[in-house]
Amino acid sequence: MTRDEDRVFTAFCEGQLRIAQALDAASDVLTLRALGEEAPVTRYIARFEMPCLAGGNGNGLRHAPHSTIGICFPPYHLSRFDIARVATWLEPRDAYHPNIKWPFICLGHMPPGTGIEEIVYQIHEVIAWQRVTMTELDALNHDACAWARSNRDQHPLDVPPLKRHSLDYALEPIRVPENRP
Amino acid sequence: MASVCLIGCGNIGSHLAMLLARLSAVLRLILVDPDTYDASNLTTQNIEQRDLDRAKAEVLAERIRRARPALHVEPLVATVEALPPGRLRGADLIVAALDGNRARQSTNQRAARFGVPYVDAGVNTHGLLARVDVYNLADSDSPCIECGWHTDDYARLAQRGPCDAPVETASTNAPSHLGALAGALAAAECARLLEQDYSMVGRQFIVSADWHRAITTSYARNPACRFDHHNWSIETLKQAPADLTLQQTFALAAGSGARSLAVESQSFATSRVCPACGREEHCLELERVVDARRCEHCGGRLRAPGFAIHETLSSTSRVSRRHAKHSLANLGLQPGDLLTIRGGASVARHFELGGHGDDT
Repeated sequence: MTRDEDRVFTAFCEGQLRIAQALDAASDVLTLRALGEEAPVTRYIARFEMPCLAGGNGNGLRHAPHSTIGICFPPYHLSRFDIARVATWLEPRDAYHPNIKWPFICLGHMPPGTGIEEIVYQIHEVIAWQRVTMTELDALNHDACAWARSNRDQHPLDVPPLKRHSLDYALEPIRVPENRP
Repeated sequence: MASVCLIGCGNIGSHLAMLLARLSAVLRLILVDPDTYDASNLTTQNIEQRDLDRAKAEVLAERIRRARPALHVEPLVATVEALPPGRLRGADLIVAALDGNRARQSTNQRAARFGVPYVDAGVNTHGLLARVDVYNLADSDSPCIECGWHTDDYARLAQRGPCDAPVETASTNAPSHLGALAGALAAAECARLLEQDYSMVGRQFIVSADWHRAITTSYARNPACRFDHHNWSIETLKQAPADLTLQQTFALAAGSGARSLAVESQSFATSRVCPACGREEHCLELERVVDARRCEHCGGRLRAPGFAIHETLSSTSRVSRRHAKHSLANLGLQPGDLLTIRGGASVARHFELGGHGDDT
């Protein structure tokens, strides 16, 4: 009998944990927390503190102040990518977007082994309406899809970038001539 | 005398099945394919008009029984991923004639768990290529099919999104004679393996019927292979899923302390939702059971949210304790499912659930 260890997957998860911690530290809008104490860490909660369109389907639209998504890496993540398994939309439940229907979010085709940084960036683009499915054929929320086509001036949303930009400017004082009023 | 499992009864399989049946060393043949023949297959597969709209595995089984009545043939109308792995256990050799890498992955995995040789056949219309790969996964240091895959191969795997049904790979539309060529090459390698000749293990043989060339390539074990290559020593349980409770199943583990239970190629769902109407129910059952359910309220397809899916159950979790007295059948397990049970830091034990008709 052999012990069931998958060293390749374990190494992948350890690397993703370091990346997640760095991403959490570098972002003002994202809080990325690992769940559980057992190694390797395979589950995260991503909370985006930025406007998220919600409501619709007969109710008025509003901007929810934040959204929460669960991200997990199943043991077969390096062999095949299963978006419904990797990303779970947690809140707001009435998020309004063609690519979102609680508890599912559609991020499109991704290769196996896609890392947490890429997944988080894709989710950020969806929440910001920078990534939008415009046809009902592939959309999870058909009502939002029709709204997207009829209200192109309403998206994408004006949201902060995922990573804060560092200000790295060299400043020089301006010398004002003495005889200038 | 040997038992052979053929996965895929399409272009290559429709020829290969008969060739395998005619090997004198073969006593039992298992045929696996979920599809039925349709009119488009008449010019590309080895079938007749009367076979249309019938399950491929059953059509070939009938034909084999006519040709060789003494051969035990078992058709299984299912995908290899959906089939409880134990239904293939007992095969001395697994042969795949598939047109998608997703099914190849599952087949490769089963061959490794059972420690049996695996022959994979394929075709490519460009150059009229017929290909056969030979693996012996009894040796965990031997290459598997994924050892030769790189990023592009994984990227091409069919994916299932939350918005649609599983993506089907396009048929190769290869001509029937190309399928026959690949089938013949595969049958020849199977005959070699059944005679304990492993000289072609770890090798790929390609013939081009267009360019009239033959090429042999060797694979090496890839230390970074994304598949773990583990062989399992599997104990067969007499009990069927209905005869074992979850609590009794945990008790099968050696060692003390918390136990964990996993079902090969399956996951447990602790919640099921209807995306159409938003209803949610807590549960404990295999994800494949959730996928087959319909919402009682609106009739929509039920799905398990990703965060409510778990590959292993812990004996100390609240949901396990709540369902301790439930039988494994209640959770959706079937005869032939493979269980992995671990207690504390002890080595895992693997079991096959009993209860299917051909338990001997």
